[in-house]
Amino acid sequence: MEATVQRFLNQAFNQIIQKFPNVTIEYKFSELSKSHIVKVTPAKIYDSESFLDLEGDLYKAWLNVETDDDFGLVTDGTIVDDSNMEEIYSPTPCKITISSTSSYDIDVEIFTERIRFQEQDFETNSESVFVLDNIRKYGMAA
Amino acid sequence: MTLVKKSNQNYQAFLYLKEGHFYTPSVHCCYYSCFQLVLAFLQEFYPDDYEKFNLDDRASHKHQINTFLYHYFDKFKKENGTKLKRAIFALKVARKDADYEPSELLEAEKVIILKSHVEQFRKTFKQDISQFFD
Repeated sequence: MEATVQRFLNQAFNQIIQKFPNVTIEYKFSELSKSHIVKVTPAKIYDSESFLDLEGDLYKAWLNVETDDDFGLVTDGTIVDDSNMEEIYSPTPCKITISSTSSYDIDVEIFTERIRFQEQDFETNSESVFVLDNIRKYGMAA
Repeated sequence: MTLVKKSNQNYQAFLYLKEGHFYTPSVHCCYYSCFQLVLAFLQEFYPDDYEKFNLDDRASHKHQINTFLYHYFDKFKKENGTKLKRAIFALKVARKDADYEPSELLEAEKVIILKSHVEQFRKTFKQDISQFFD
């Protein structure tokens, strides 16, 4: 791959990750169409106005890259063949830190959101108990 | 506006092929329906660029589309240029696969996505350049 194209792709991946840390990025080069295909999921992020805005900046920048290749961003359900793609980035998995103030205060960091579950949540909020049970089940406690 | 008429016919051809369940060849019509609007835009607003591509045997669709996008981003909203790029990129890649790749025939459910791309392209294009469709 040409150095300028590699540099562009690295910058593009970094810009996407900086702005949308919750996405998964996959990539492949289609030899037949000479196209760099970048798949971004979930679709709800790809379909957002803010992603469209960043995507426009990337396309405008691509126009200045000296290459005969093409570049484009797709998401789930694309008409483009998205088999055999290489995973470039996926978000950091959920981690738990257990507060020392109480054995029932549990901070759950899910991607960039931090949720605190407290003792009263476990008895009245069945969804919290479900999340806690699943975290224990997968052995992700710190 | 012969290129616009050809684009319209390719779109109609896509609909007929879709009705007849000829999904793989329909990709070709979707792509060319959009590409012909690209050429029509260049011919109308940037005739020097259009003529240059006509004379250059090495001109590829990619260069023509990039020149179109360069001018489109300059002339209209970035959001619309991005939507056009999204649609035509997907159709261009899919067309190459449909025409040349020894893969399975296109499934019916993929045609829905195909239709959404070509219609998004035509709708966005029409928003900015309605005179082509009068």
